[in-house]
Amino acid sequence: MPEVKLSTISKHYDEVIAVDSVNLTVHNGEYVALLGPSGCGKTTTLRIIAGLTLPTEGDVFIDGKHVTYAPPGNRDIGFVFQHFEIFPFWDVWDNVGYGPKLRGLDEIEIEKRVWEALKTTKLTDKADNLPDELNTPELQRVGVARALATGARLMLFDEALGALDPKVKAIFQHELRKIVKKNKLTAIHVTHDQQEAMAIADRIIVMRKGRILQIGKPTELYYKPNDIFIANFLGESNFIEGVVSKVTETGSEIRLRDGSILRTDEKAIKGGRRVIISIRHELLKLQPFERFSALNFIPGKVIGYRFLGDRHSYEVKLDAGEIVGVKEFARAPPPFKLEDPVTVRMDTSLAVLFSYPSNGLAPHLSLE
Amino acid sequence: MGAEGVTLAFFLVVILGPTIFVFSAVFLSWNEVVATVFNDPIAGDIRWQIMRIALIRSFEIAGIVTVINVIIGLPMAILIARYDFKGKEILDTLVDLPMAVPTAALGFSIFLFWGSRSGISVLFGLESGLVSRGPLLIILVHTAFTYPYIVRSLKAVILGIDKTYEDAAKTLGASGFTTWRTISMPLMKEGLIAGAILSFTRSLGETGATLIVAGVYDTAPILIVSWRKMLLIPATAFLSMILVTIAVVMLVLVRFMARKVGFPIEKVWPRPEQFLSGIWQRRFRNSVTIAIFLVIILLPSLFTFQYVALWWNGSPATGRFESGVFYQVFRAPDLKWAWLLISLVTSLQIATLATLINLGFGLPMAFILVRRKWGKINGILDAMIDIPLAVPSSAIGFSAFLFWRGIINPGFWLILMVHIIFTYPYFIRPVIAVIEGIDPGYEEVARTLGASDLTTFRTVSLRLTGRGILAGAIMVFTRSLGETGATIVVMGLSRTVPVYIVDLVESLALPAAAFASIILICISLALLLILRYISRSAEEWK
Repeated sequence: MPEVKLSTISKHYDEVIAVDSVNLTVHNGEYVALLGPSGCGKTTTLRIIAGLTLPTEGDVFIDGKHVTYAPPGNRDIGFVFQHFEIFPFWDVWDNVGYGPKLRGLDEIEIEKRVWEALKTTKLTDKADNLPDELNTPELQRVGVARALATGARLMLFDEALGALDPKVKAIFQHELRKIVKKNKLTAIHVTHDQQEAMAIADRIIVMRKGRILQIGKPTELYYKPNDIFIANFLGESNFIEGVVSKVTETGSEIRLRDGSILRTDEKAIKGGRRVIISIRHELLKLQPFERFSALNFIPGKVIGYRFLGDRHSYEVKLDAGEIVGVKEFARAPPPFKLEDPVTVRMDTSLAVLFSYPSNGLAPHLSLE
Repeated sequence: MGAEGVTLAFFLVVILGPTIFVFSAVFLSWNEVVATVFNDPIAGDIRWQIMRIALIRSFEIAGIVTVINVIIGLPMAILIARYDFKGKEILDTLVDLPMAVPTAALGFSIFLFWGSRSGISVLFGLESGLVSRGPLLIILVHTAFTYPYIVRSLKAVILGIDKTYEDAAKTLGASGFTTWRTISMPLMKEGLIAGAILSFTRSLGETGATLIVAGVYDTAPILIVSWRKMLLIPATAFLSMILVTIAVVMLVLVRFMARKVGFPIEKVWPRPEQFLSGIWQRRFRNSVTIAIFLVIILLPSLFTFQYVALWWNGSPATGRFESGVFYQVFRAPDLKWAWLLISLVTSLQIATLATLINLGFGLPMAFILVRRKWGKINGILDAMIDIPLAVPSSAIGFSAFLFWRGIINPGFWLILMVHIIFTYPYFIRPVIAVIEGIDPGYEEVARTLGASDLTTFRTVSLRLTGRGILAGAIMVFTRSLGETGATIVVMGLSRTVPVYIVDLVESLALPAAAFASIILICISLALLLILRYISRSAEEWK
């Protein structure tokens, strides 16, 4: 059964290091997302697994076999491309049948496989159509059917849903996961869309600048990011600067620049340190300005507002200096106007503390 | 409508009219045609027999040459397009070389290599040439000068293939060879057909080199030239008409058929094809490809240089100074250097004027063809542009001679008119390609910023097409410089260099012919290097 293992894989293009000693194990039957901004090396990593790109260093094992230099055809993989690459001169049936044919199967077996793949992807009525007669979602299905028909147990998806409209995409995420799980396949899914990664994968591997930053379940990455970049890349986070004023048995207190205090459950290493508190938009609440100050109640002023349908999204300038985003469920028209003084109540139970980076915050928030 | 009218009128009157005028000439003097071709009081239908044999021979040669070229050209195109190695740039330039060199010079060089005592025979210690003049030598020569056409068009399509299709095939389990046969070949079908047609028509219509290497064998274009010299006007007109007809029919057929032609992609043989994809098999293929290129194409094409060096100060066999190139060209009493100089000036004047005129009238035509949406008319105009490309140039020359008879007499100006015709598509095609590649968004931006149509054209469109125009202009210049067949038919008393070379070879003044050839080769070589420099910087610029 397919288990993918990468051991210190690197890929250099002249001066550029696309992938930088990546170690990774994908277990049998797992659906894994490779997530990262464009240019982070995720597609290169996938192509190295597929054998379309040869690594400069390191080894690839599929199913325990060393396949680093084996051609793609010997790896027993199914690959779905971003732009699908459905061969324009064949109809759907021939496109899907190409893989089984290359495996030297007899006619009956080929037919069985193609039919099965078309049924799984709901394409049976399109079998005789040429690619230019299909729309994008249909082409996407053909891409998946073609990969399935090879009989491969390992599916590699390279931004395979990237070309679809948002609504269609959401449906396909669900379907793709269902197909993989139902057929007990292993899947590695490259995407730059954090929502897609969270919706589709058992585990997410976050890459940046050729390196793996963190591997974990979606909830782990969301609530316990080990890097400011991940806190910023997944979901929407605010980053507030402060200094650790007190470390207790149950947590720590952080003094912001205007003197107000945030208490978190997370223990800082030691007092006096400059830190960044990362706290998600949806964990902040606005209430009318109150003169008295208390723990986790930070004063500020509304400076921006957008209506998102199900949410109100505010921009608030804290007296401490930071501008934070606040998201609240929209049950009624927005209770605050621009320029309203407010108090921001921060639910810090899920906030994360980072020590202040030596090279400043900006490089860690840059999305590349 | 003014400027467009002039552009279209130019195309109809100067380019298309003269090319197909031969039809009316034949029908108007049909009785004479019958009398000279089928029913000559003395010769009977002998001319019809000669004509038929020459036509069949021409087609056989063009067919064989095209097949050979596809076989030896495809691996070369793959090598250049897909492999990285030292000296690739140089190889790429050398492959283009035979296209730039005038065919008369090229044919002479190849004749010296295969067919003369000083050529490859030296290796085998033979007293005479290895290959005597005739069909085999014609095939060798035609293979050499059409080779670049095939390699170039194949290279372009290979570079244009979306490589992810091949990646997709590989992930599905296809070996390298299977991927090429079942995925890449169907994707490059149209380029393959286009290259094959170009090679076929160029071979079918070639005169200059063929005159030098044909010996007693006639091909159809040579027959036009020799009948024209014998002033058999009706017979020549009839033969020209047949060639024009065949060219047009072929163009239409190919345009129609290109879509229908299929490749054998239904079956796959995984095991043997996997074997063929091995690294050693690929290395073997590449080595053979380069070896064939060197021996069949490059060495023969450049052999004149060796010949001139050897014969410069006298015959290498007898040592007689008077037989040497230097004496023959500069010292002999018949002043060959002066004739060479005069013909060179004529050649350059005609090439320059043809280039400028095509620039003036071809450029707007290219824009009209791409940008005007006249529905069917666009398609028809587009197809008609290619007619001068498909018709053998001697037939064009003869047809134009009939068209302008009584208005322009054979000589300098008629040569110019004819050169304008057959170089026209060579200018328009690359320009059209560039214009089609321009994002019309840029022009729209200029308009929204307040530029008038003319200003937009001048400041934006022209800038974006600049390099395509330059490339087209150089193509026109080299083609005009190298033309023989069409020139002979209409030259009167004027001489261009290629014609002069043919004259010299016919009068057996080989050393002088060799000298004239290398002059012509050097000029063309310089032009080729400029052309490559332009197209390279154009790629970087993109």
